[in-house]
Parts: sequence; C-alpha cells; structure tokens
Amino acid sequence: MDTNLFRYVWRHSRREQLVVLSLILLSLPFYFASLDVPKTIVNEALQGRAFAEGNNTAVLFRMELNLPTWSGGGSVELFPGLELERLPFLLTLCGLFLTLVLINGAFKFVINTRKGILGEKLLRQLRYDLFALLLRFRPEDIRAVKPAEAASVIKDEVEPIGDFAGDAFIQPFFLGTQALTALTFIMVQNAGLGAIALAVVLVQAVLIPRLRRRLITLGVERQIESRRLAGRIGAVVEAAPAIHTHGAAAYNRAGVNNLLARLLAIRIGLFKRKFAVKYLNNLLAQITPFFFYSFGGYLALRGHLDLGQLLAVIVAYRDLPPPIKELIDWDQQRTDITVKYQQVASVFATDGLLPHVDGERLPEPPPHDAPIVIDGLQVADRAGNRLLERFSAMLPRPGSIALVGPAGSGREALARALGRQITDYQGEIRVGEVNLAELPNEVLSRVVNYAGPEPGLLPGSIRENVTLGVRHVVPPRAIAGDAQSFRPDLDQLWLDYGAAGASSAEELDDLMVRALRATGMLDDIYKFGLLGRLPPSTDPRLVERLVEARHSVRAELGRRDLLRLVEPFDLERYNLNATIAENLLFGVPLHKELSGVGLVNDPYLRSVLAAEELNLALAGVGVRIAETALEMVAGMSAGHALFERYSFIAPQEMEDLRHALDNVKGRDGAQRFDRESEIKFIGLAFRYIEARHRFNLVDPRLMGRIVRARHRFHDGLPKNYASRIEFYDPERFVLSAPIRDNLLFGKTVFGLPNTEQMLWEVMRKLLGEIGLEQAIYRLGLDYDVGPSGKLISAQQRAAISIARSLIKRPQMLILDGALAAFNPGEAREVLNNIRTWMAGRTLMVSLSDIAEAKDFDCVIRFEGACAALASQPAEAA
Amino acid sequence: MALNVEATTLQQIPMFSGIDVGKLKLLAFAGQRIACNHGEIIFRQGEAADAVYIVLEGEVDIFRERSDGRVRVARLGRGQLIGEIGVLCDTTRTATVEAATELQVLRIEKAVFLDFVHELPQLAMSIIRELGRRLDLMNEQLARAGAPPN
Repeated sequence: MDTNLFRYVWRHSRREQLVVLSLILLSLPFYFASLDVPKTIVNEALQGRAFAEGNNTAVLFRMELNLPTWSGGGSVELFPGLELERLPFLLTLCGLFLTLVLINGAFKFVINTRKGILGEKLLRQLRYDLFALLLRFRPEDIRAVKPAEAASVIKDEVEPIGDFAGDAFIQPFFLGTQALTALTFIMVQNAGLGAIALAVVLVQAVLIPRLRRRLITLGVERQIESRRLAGRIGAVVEAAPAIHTHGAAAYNRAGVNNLLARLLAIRIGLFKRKFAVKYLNNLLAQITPFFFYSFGGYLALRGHLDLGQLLAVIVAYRDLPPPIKELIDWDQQRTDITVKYQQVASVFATDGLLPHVDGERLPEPPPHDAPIVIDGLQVADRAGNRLLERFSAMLPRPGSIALVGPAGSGREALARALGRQITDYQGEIRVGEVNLAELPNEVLSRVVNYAGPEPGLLPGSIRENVTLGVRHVVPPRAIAGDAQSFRPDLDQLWLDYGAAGASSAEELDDLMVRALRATGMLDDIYKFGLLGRLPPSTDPRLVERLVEARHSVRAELGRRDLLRLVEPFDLERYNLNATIAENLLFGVPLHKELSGVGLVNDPYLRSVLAAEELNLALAGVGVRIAETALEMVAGMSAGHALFERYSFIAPQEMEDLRHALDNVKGRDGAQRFDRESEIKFIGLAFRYIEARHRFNLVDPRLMGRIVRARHRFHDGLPKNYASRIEFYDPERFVLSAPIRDNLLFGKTVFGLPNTEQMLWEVMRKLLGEIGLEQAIYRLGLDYDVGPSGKLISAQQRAAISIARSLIKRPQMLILDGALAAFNPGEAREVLNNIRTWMAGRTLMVSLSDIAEAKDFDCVIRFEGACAALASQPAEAA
Repeated sequence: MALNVEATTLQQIPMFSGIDVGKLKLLAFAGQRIACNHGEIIFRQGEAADAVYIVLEGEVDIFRERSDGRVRVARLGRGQLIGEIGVLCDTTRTATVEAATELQVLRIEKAVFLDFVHELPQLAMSIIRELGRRLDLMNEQLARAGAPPN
C-alpha cells in the first residue's frame, strides 16, 4: 500500500484521470465563449452598435485569418459570415448562447459521471487491495487482527476515501480552471475590475479557511464535552443511591450544570463563528458587484468600458465564488481524508507479508518422497519465550511421524512451524532442496497441509467448506477473462477436480463422502441428507420408488413396534409435532411467497383465518411466544452465542418484537393489534410446534379450529393456488418437504427416547435397498454449517476441517490437535482411518501419550521446548 | 406451560440455583423433554456420555455393572441431575440409568450443555462450587470412615 493517497490514486487511475482532465481543458473555450456571448448581445444587438450608421443589416460570424506581417500582411477570409437584420441577429446570438449553455451542461454531466465512476472504481480497487493484503498477512499477524475491525475498515472506513479519490485531481483542476477562466475573462474586459475580483477571491481563499479551522477545533471540543456530560450522567445514575444517602443531589446538579454551561459556551462560539463565516461569504459575494456598479459604472460613463462588458463582468463574477468555496471545501476534505487514509494504511501495515503469486507461474512442488530436513529450527513467541529449542533432524518420506509431548510443549511449535502457522522462526525447514519458507501457500498447501484445533469454517454448505481444499489453483479461464468483472460461475470455475483426483462433480461428491466417512461424519451427513429436499429434476421413477418405500417404512416400523415414534399426516387431525402453519396448509408451499411472512400476508389464507375467527387467537399465541422468547434472552446481547443458537427468535428480530409487544399491550392489559403487528405475531405463531417448543399454547379447542380452517382452506382453494402448494397425500411424493417427512409420511414425535436414531436406522436400511444411499449423502453435503460452523457441533466442524485436508491429497498432512473435539475412542478410530487414507504419503500427528505412538515410523519426543528424536525410522528394505 | 414447569424444576437443582429463570427456560427450550416407560434404559455404563438428564417426574435407578451382575447404587427423583460428570470430564458412562417408574426427563445434549457452561460464567461457577461441595462431602465421609471408633 502506498502511504500517500494521491500517489495511490494516480497509480491506479492515471489513464482515466488524464481523459477527464483533457475533457475539462476542452470545455474551457466553450465556457469562456458562454461568458463572452452576452456581451455581444448587449453591445451589438441591443445597443445596436453593429447597426450603427443606419445599416439595416449586420454581419455575424465572419471569420478572417490575419496573416503575419513578414508574409506581406493582410487577411484571408475563411467564412463570409451571415448577413442578418436586427431581430434575427439578436435571436441568432441568443440561440448561440443557448447552445453554449447546453454544451457546458453536457460537459459538466460527462465530467461528473466519469468522475463518480472513477471514484467507485478506485473504491473497489482499494477494498480489493486491502482484502488481498489481509490474506497475505503472516499467520502470527493475522491472529492479531480483530475481525470486526478489519471488516469495518474495508467496508465503512474506506467509503469516504473512495468518494474523495474521484475528486482528488479532477475537482481542484475543474474548479481551478473554471475560476481562472472567469477571472481571465474579467481581466480581459478590464484590468481594474479584474484586480478587484482577484482581491476579493484572495480574501475569500485566505480568510475563510482560517475561520473554518477554528470551527473544526470548536467541533472537536463540543464532542469531547458532550461525551464528558454523558459519562457524568451515567456515573451519577449508577451512584444514585450513594448520592441520596449523602444528600448530595444539589452538588451533583451543580456539577452537571457546570458541564452544561461549558457546552453552551462552546456551542454559542460555534454558532457565532459559523454565521460569521456565512456572513463574510455572502458579504464578499454581494459587495463586489457594488464595486463593479460604482467603479465599472464610472468607467462606462467615461467611455472606458462599454455596457456589454460591464454586464458580462457581473455575470462572470457571479460564477466565481462557488468554485472558490468548493475549492476550499476540497482542501478541507483533503486534510481530513489524508488522515483517514493514513489510518487505514497503518491498520494494514505489517513488517512481513507472505509471498505474492499471480497464479500463473507457480513453482513446482518438491517430489513426494523428498525427505524433510529440519536444520537448527528454533521458535520463540513474541515475548521471547522459547517454544522450541534448537532442533535438527532429517525425516524420510513417505512415513508416519508422531510428535509426543504434553500440550503446550514444543510439539505444537514444530507442527505449527512445519504447517506455516508460525513463520517467525530461526533455522530452516527444507523439503528435499526446497526451502519451505519460499513456497507460496498455493503450492505449500499441497506439499504440507496443516489441520489444527481451529476448524476455520466459512458460512455455506458442507460441500463448499470441504471443497475449499481444492480451490488453490487459479483457473486459467479466470485469468483469461476480465479479472475484475463479476463471475456468476465463480464456485464452479475455481473447483479443481484434478487436485482431488476426480473428473466430475459426482466423483468429487463421492470422494467427499469417503473423506467424511474417514473423519467419522458419515452418519451425520446421512441425517442431514434426510433433512434435505429432492431437486425437482429427480428421475420420476426414483420418486415413485420413494413413495413405495414410504409404505415399506411404515410396515417396518410396525414390525419393530416403533409406530409411536411417528405422528402421521392425517387430514382430520392436528399434528402436534408440526408447525401451526403446516397444520393449516396440510402441505408445503412451493414458492417463497407462501412461506414465512408471505403466508401470513396471503389474502386467501387471511380470508380463511378471518372466517374462522382465528386471527386474534393466533396473534395471541404469537404474543405469548414473543414474551417467553424475550424473557429467555433477557440481558443477552444480540451476538451472544446462546441467543444465536438456541433462541426461538433471531437476534435481529428482538428489537422489532419488543417494540411490537409494547404497541400491542394497552394500559388496561388488553391486546390491540393493528394490521402490521397482527401479521408479525401470527407469523411467529405459524412457526410454533407444540410438542417441540412446549409453551402449552395449543389446546384441543384451538386444534379443532385449526383443522376446521384447514378444511375451509382446501374446499375453497382458488385454482391458481393448486400450483403453489403441495398437499400431503399418502400416494404422492412432496418434493418441497424433507425426504424424512416424505418417507415417514408424518412428523417425528418429540419427547421419546432415541427416536431419531431408531427411525434413521429403518429409513437407511430401506433407502439402501432401493439404491438411494449415495443420493442422500449428496444431499447431505448441501447442509448449511452457519457462520463459523455455528449450526453444527464442534466434532462435526473438526471432521469437516480434516476432510477438507484429505480431499486435497497433500504430500504430508499434519494433525495438530485437530482431533481434540472427538472423544478418545472416536479419535483413535478417525486417526486409523486417516492413516489408511494417507498410505503411501506422510502423516505427522501430535500426541500426548507415547503409547499411542507405538506403530509410527518415527517418534519425536518433547520435554518442554526441547525435542529429541526418540526412534529413528526403520531403514527401508 | 410445560416449559415453565421444567424451568422451575431446574431452579431447584443447586447447580442452577444462581441462574435467572429466563436462561433456565432457554436451557430447557434447547433441551428435549422425553417420556420413558418403566424399565426403559436411559443410558448404559460404558457408553459415550452424550447428554445430561434432569428428572422432571418419576424416579430412576442407578446401577453399577459388574462381572457378577449389576448392583443398584442409588434411586434418584425429581430435580436430580444425571450424567453431568461424564459430560464435563469427557469420559464414558460410569453407571447404567433405568426408569424406575413412568418417567419424564429433560435431555440436554452434551454440546448444548457445554455451550451453556461456556457462555454463562455464573453456571460455570455454580458447577465448580457444586463439585467442590461434593468433594468436601466425600472427604468428610472418608475421614469419618477412617476415624478410629470412640
């Protein structure tokens, strides 16, 4: 990053800047002409100088080229001009003036648009550069960056810089040349008047910024004093009991009064100065014409100046102060933005950055059997504490290496240094001839891949997270095209099937499933898959088989005496394990417009609710849900993990609901709903499942009324709704419902032990029999993990993170605390699977128990920061 | 409301007594109420500890499995917390728990329970205090058992 904003702007937009600057230069003659034409109108047309000596016509636009004296003098006529009578003469000049006004306007329009686009492009560039820079931070440095701060810098703080970047060169040039043109014009008319205008402009340019500077300091003082006042009020409220106890209220009032008085003085100062600046500005703008009228008038009377000139000077002067004022603004903005830019640049300033690669010329990775040579490796933390004492070893590959030692010992430092989680070390790590530190991440990650205790998941599906492992190669098509434009096919484009050893999306999916099986997540993927929905493009024969499977599932459940685990869909009965909305529709909406808020707003459903008088009852249910939900999260901030994960309401809904609740409840305790709040609370009630949420809000009477409303809804269903809702039907598959609900043709009963497990076993057996297993796994990969993987468990997060490394097929995989989320038995099993997966390649694992390391080729033991090779690998036969 | 009853029951457990009722409702809400028949096994000794249970209604028997059969070591009733040691210490179940009557329990998954411990410092403090209290009790019992008879 350039430390100088102007240099940065110029470097990234030179061409476009030059285009706009040329446009400005091009516009100046037209601007000058637009000042000059009125003079001609007054002098020639109105005062009739052109028609002096009794001529009825005059010549307009005659163009002559005066020849230089050395060539003999004289002139050549280029255009004979138009001979016009007085009125056409005037109108033609007016037409010319109008044309010039239009041309000037067009110039302004083009210049401003280009300037705006330029600013936006620079903003984009700046954000992109900062983000790219962030990704090149060394691991040690990026850990010191606060995520929210980095995000706010890139998103918010650079915004005004971008706005200003468009103005950086263009604005002063544009305004400056315009002011200069106007001034020159005045000078040309009369040097004396020009001197007056220049003097006034100088006063404006010097005096006003000075006055403004004081305004800024006063503004800062006001801010500090206001903050102090707020702090004082807060402190007094907190200490109120003590103040009462000591009868010191009057004293504290006086204290606050003092602060208020000081604030008032500052604010009055601000006002005085603000209006003084305004007064001066106006005065200068208006007093100058006084000089023009008096002094210019005097000159006109004396015949040194004609009336047209005087008028033109006054018009030109009117154009002068605004550019000067804007120039002063620009200068003020420049100071402000330069500071902001320096602040942003300083946030992103760091000593060392990882090597930058442009993606086209990646160095070749070393051969997969080249040994790892650790040469005098020594690691210390920032405070200088030794994490790893000087250590040298040669580790042949392929093989398995165990780093054994207590947590916090050198085993972590070694694993992290090898996996480039630490770059600040002494000594050298080589793989064959290649120094590890010199490899860019894109190559290193395929040679040595590190899986640590922090899974680092991105929001998105499991598939997106696992395939992150094979998105290291910049695809040639991405480079070939316009690298800056939007790519709708980004995800596909960057998928490198070859890196995973797959040739198609299906093969990659299967590979991911295999990797997730190795990390012990297969069952979970299956469960997620059953919660998924079949894509509409699914083979109809397959769908038919699923409907048949529904009957077999039912039969199997009967055989195993498990029918009580499912509450079947029954048109005549309320389903306690389904939401109120599902109970009303007895089906699933196909389109977004009939789900969530859309459903509550739907006029037909509302008419049904109104006919059954269910509006108030359901809104009342919503109110009680809101009250309980708000009680549950009372005192928690919106970002609180428990709030985000477990609450009935989303954090962003909270304020809104609290507001709505206040509005609904009258002083007398009765509830009054306006249309908006009714919709809000019915929407809340629609999501409620009695058996799951257990607020005791649905009693048999309400159930009966909802089933009645369901029948009314079905009986009177308008034709166009048929294609918008899929109704539950024992003989039809409901594509928009989860596969699980379809197979069970009902809802899983909440509140019985091991329900899910037993049902899954039945469904899995039958789906396996009709060959649908793989399809379900693929659907499972679509499951959304939430921000940082918050929607799944710690163990699932770890499993995804390791699977991500596995499909990448690195030459060497380092597991450093990656299995911490698993219980010991599971961890052992997963480790065995990984060893099988990595057969023929190299696996390094950090362990705390030497007993677990017994069948590793090579063991390095750690005591504190000291390491020793405990067992040399067996010599290759 | 069922959730209210659950929260009230939670409040009676010493470990949760310092937590405000709203958060206990959230805990109950994040958990699952489960009904078991008499004789149904809640969990078996040696299984992975995947959840804690709170007895809402009815009673449970705690058995120690031994090579020569099983021995009932305790019967616990309403308001008792079961299985927290395995969840907190990441060990397998140290006993088998069976419904001694018709039973209603609140099941809170390990991850959920640990999330709450993680996010609510008061809860973590109460747990430390409760475990300390039990240790103290055990020490006292040991001392009494080892003390020479008067």
